[in-house]
Parts: sequence; C-alpha cells; structure tokens
Amino acid sequence: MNLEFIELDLDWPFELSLFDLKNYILSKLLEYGEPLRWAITSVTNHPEKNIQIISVEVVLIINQDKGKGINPELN
Amino acid sequence: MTNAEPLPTLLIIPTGIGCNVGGYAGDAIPAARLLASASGCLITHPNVMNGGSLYWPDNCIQYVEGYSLNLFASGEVFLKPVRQQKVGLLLDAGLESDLKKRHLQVADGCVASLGLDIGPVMTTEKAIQINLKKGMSGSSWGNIEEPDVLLRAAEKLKQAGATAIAVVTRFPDESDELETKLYRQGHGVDIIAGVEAVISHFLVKHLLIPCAHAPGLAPLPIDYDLDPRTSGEEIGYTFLQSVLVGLSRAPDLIYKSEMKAKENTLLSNRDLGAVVVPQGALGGEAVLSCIERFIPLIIVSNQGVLNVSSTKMRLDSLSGNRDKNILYAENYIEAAGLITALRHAINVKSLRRPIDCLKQLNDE
Repeated sequence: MNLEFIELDLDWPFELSLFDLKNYILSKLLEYGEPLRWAITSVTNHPEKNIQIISVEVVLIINQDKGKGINPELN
Repeated sequence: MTNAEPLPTLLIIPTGIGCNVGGYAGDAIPAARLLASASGCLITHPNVMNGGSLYWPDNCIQYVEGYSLNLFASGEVFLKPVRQQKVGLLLDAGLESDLKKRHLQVADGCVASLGLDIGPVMTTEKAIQINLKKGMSGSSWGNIEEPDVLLRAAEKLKQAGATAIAVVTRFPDESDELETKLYRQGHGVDIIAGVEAVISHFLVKHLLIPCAHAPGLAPLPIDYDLDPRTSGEEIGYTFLQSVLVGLSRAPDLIYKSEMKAKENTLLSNRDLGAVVVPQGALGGEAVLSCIERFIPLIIVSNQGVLNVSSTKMRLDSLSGNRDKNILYAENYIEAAGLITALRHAINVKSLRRPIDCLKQLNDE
C-alpha cells in the first residue's frame, strides 16, 4: 500500500448541481486510487465553455495488489 | 432566556490552510468554547482543539478527527459520547531516544496529574518517514513512506485494548526554514499540519476508532517576534498533551451498518442544527455533505489561503431554501449569535434591519 499526493483539474459543467458535486468528484478520484483526504482548492470560471474548472488536491491510497496506479502526467 | 435543547453544531476550520483563526496552535479554542456555549453541543476536530501544550476540555465539545467527521457528516457514522477512552500511544521508531522519552513522560504526566487512562504503548518496527508537501493552492499536505508499518502497530494497540490512539511520528527537521519562520510569526501556513491530518485519516479509516496525531520535533531556537497564536507550541518539548486530553473523551464511532437498534444517546448528522465553516473553505467533503442535506450553513469571514467561496461554489445562486439555510457572519462572535438565535427559535430576519413587511402569496 502506498499513499500518493496528487492535484487534479476537473470540469464542473453548469448543469451539474452543487448537490451532486461530491459524488462526481469521488467518482473521478476513484479512477486513480482510493481517496483518503481531499478538498477542492480552487474554482475558476470559464463561461465561454459553459463550465467551471475545479482543482482538487488529494491523498490517495494506492493498493498495489489491485494494480491501480497514477498517470504521472496528472501529478 | 428560556432553556432550550442543545443545537448540535459542527465547527470546521480545515487543517493546513492558514486560517486567520484556527490556522495556528489551537488558536480557535476560544471560538470553539464560545460556539459550544451558544449551541450546548459542538462537534469539532483536532485542528481546532489541539494547542500544542495548551488545551481546554469541555463537556459540550465532541472531539472528532477529520476522516470520521466526514463520515459523520455524510451519515455513515454516528457518534457515541463516552466517559473516558483508553488511549493507546503509538510511537514512531524514527524518534530519537530522548525525544521518545519526553513523549513517554508526557503520557505519564497525563496519567498522574490529569487522571487519563493511557496505554498500551507501542513503537513501530521501523521509522515511517514523513514527506511534507505543499499544494499549488498553498495548502500543506504530505504522505508517509511506510503506511503498512504504521497500520500494523496501530492494529496491535487496538487488539491490546486501546479504544483510541494517539500517534507521534518524527517529522523532518530540515523542513523549509522560511515557511517555519513565517508560520511562527503569524504569516504562513502550518507546513506540517496537512500530513498530520493524512496520518490520522489513514488510521481512522482502517481502525474506526478515534485517532489523532502529534508531531515529534526537535525544539526550535527562540523567536523574539513570535505570534501569540503559535505560542502554545513553544511551551514544552512535545505537542502530545493536547492530543491525549482530546482523545480521552472523544466519542466512539459507530458505523450505520453496525447499529443494532435505535439508540437515543447517539449523535447523527440528522441532529445537526448548523455547520460553521470559513468563507473560502467551502470545498471540503464534510461541508459538501452538509450542503446536500440542507443543514444550515454559517459562513464566517476567516481568511486563509483558499478562495473556494460561496459565490464560486454557486451557493449564492441557489434558489428556494437559500435564505433559510445559508447565513453569513463577520466573525465567530457573530456566528455564536446566529447559533443562539437558531437554538432558541428566534427568526434571524427579525434581528436585522431593514425588516420587510409580510407578503401575501396571492400578491405575487
């Protein structure tokens, strides 16, 4: 088992409600590992694309047995 | 004022984001005491209550570590208040013998002078090795090299009867000197706080008992420009005493799936009457869970390094329940007033001026 700190930028489409945001983020984080501690650390507006970009900082548990790894480009 | 039932209130001041109140050494304890007095029941976390050598036990405050706080806010875990925990002490093998002895003496002192139930004690089989990191946002983070080593030792403590765990790990002395200086002088983020939270999150996730962390550090040279908010960390040789006091009365954590029957003594997220959180720090897991459940949100001006504000999180544009569920306070004194109003069923609109006339639905 390893703990890894990574930073991700995620699209937050305007049609996605704030009430659904937590589960949306968790589903994205699970693609990289098991989220242990995370927070949204910035939100930037992109009205031309009809989205906001949220930055998430997270420490993930990487279980090597399950073969999940992190794409280094996302670090 | 008439007596009113407590209004269980969640106070969140996230760790490692340099909040003006609560970003230093237990400097949010006065705010927590005030909110506990106003609400009659405050649930908050170690970053708020740990002041290095300083602490304040309060029967109205439930000390709940951040990972379990997230589970509580999402409804996965209930809190069961206890009279006393048996606090196991987990020491990192990376602690030098003198530093280890200092921590053992603090634990002995807490037994002898405060009447706490501490033990057993366990040292990890090898050093767990801390890596400090800082995010692009300026928040402090980090990880550990040997999570399995830490977990094995913690599991042994739990098997040996510990109902809570205080963990002390050796932190690197060569961390950024400028960062440390800025922090001690009240102008920076606590660079070690983020990874402390990671360690306690990790243990609680796997053991589901209260856990909290104290860093093992060599003493720093005296700083004549020390900010009073950091002074609690300059008094002694360790930061362990506040952790032991907090954990000694931390509530048990009961998974929803383990509930056999309805227990009236348990606290659940459905009991929450308010959550108090800094403006700018609205992107945490517990806050999002509370928003999902329409728990009244008191947003307090308390500047840190983040700017995840109510506007950016689209809270200001929510319709319908907005007036009822989102309140703003300039400081924690004002937040205490809002909690008092909620607790005693005083309409907050009645306290503000100007005050509008009632409207008839059929006028709209």
